[in-house]
Amino acid sequence: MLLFSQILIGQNNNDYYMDDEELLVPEHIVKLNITGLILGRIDCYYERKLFKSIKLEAGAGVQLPYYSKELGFIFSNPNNKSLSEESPLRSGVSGFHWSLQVMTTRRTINSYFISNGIRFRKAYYSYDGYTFKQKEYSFISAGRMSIHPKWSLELASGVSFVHLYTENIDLNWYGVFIPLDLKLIYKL
Amino acid sequence: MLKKIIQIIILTGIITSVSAQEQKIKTKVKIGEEFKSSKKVYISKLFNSSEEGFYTLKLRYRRDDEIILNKFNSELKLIKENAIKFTKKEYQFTIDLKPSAQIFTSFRNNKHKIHYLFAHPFNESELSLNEPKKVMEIPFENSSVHNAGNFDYEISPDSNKILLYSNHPFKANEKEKFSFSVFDKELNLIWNKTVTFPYSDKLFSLQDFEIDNDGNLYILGKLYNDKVVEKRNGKPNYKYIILSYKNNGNVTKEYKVELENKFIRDLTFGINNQQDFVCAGFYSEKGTTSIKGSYYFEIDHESGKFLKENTKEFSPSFISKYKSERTKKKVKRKSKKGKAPELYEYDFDYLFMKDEGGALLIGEQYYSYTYSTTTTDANGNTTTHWHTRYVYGDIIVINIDKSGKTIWQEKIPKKQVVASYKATNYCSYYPIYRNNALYIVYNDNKKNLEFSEGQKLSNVTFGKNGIAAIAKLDEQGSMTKDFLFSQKETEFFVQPIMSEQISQNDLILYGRKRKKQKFSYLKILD
Repeated sequence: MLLFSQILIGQNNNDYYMDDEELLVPEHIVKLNITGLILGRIDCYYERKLFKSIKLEAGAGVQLPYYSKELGFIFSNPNNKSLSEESPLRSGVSGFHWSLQVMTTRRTINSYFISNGIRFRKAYYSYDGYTFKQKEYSFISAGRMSIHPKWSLELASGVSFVHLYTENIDLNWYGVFIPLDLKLIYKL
Repeated sequence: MLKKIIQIIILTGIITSVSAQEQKIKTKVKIGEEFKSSKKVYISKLFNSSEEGFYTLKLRYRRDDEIILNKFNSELKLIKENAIKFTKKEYQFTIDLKPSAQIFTSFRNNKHKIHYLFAHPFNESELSLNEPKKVMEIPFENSSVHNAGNFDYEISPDSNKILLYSNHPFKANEKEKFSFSVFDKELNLIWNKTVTFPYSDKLFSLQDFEIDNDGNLYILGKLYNDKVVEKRNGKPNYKYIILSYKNNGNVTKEYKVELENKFIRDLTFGINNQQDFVCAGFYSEKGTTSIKGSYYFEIDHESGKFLKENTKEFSPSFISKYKSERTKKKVKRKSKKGKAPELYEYDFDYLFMKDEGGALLIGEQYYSYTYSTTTTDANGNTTTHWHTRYVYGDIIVINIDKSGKTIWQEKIPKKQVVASYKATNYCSYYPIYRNNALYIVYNDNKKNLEFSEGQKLSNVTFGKNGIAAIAKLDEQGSMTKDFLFSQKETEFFVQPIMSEQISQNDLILYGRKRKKQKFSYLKILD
């Protein structure tokens, strides 16, 4: 009986030492995309833990009129010959966008974290009297390191498939690029 | 199948021939079956060896959240494997305790702001880990989870006391702080203490930790006088300090260790049966990477007085022993001019304390160098390639008697020059000190077995002439060399530093070539 109670106490103690669930994968965090600022976007995200290691990230932002094209375009297929092979978006476009990402997180060496997820992003742009819509499907891998008890940095990259279209003219533009996002994280 | 049978026949033949041919050093080698594992994993620890076999712990490179436990039987055959994945913990180290090993993991709890260290008793039958026990904790309040302190350990010479220690999260301009916990072999806490060193962290660098059979703690550190520079006005700008914590850490004492006007190049210390410090190593008068001689002294643990102080300069004939005629002439010329020559780039590796008093000091030459070659193609474009060579040279051995006097200094000639860092695993050596004789296991070139003064040493090879060799220095310092086995014929490429002495006469050798690995038993019958 005594032995049994000691085992129980031991177990409880170990559970106590290991209990940091809330902070290991925080319940609520907010992020700011630093590379987005370079590309003329202001992107903010809210991340919430759904299950033990599955998280949902919702993002929203605005495109300021000093657009610079996405980094890392590797393939594009315009069906409109009058447009170049690059994304038809040019400096001067403005708009807004939202995104949703589901990801799994695991800890690696020295409490660094690695996430893998799928992201959908939709953007609406106004340019030269036209309204462009862009759908983006991405596979994202991210590494995260803590720089302060409340602050972390996340570096995310992967592959994105883009479909840009407009209903005013017959434009369907497809592209593949490698996104690169550096995000500053604050744990709420 | 036929290939396997031929391999077995060849292997059996080799072992028989090894034992049948007349041996200068009597040994018996038993090479085990080949086993394979991913190139991404490596053996980190061999433990719990007995007549029934032994266990190994493997890790993945740059990962600490998974361990792979293997069981090998007495025929050196891999018979069981179990991979254990930690969800939050990080593997730290394994201590080979009797009757069972303890595997340590840690967890940085960001909620508690505490870095915990756990000991998991190793479960031999299940090849798993039993319920852990928390053995240490280091707070990291006001610090990042990545700067939460690191754990390490030391074992007393009789293996009955364990020291676990950790540095506290470090901040610039703060004095260094360490936590020490001393346990018995059942991991019951005997005493613990948190120490803030009384020196500026910039000027004090910790070198070594020791624990004696009574659970007393000794710390060796190097203290610079005013600035972190090795010499000032041609004189050493540092001294070594030994701090002792006795009587459950309650009695603290400081001992200063310095040799007048000599640069202590390496200092290794141990505690003898009288609880006095035994300090030994090499010194230089130039204050560079070369060494001029060896030193040995004991420090009385009560008075702090130096006992049996002895320094012994390497003679010009010792420095040039086994070297080319050109080097011999150069050394002679230098010593005639009154410029005392020194040995170039030797590291102090081992201090074996003899039961009757005195010690055996062992060092090895090690350095690397880089050079470039330039090629020009048909279009006149030149390309420069950079090459690095890693050099593991002679081994030097100094025998000190119980009065502190140097009986002899000897060299074991060796040439291991390799072009890749990976190949350095097959260089260097493993020493065994038994029956007042020193045995060195290393890889060599067959041509060097008959090597004598005046000849040129051949470089180590892993081809046709590649052998695992053993050298012996007896009580009088006379050297014998012998062949253990051919690496190519046995397909057993030994990594000497991965060897493990499991009893006075027995050694387990480990060899690897890419994914293919083998273990072997080496018995010294001499």
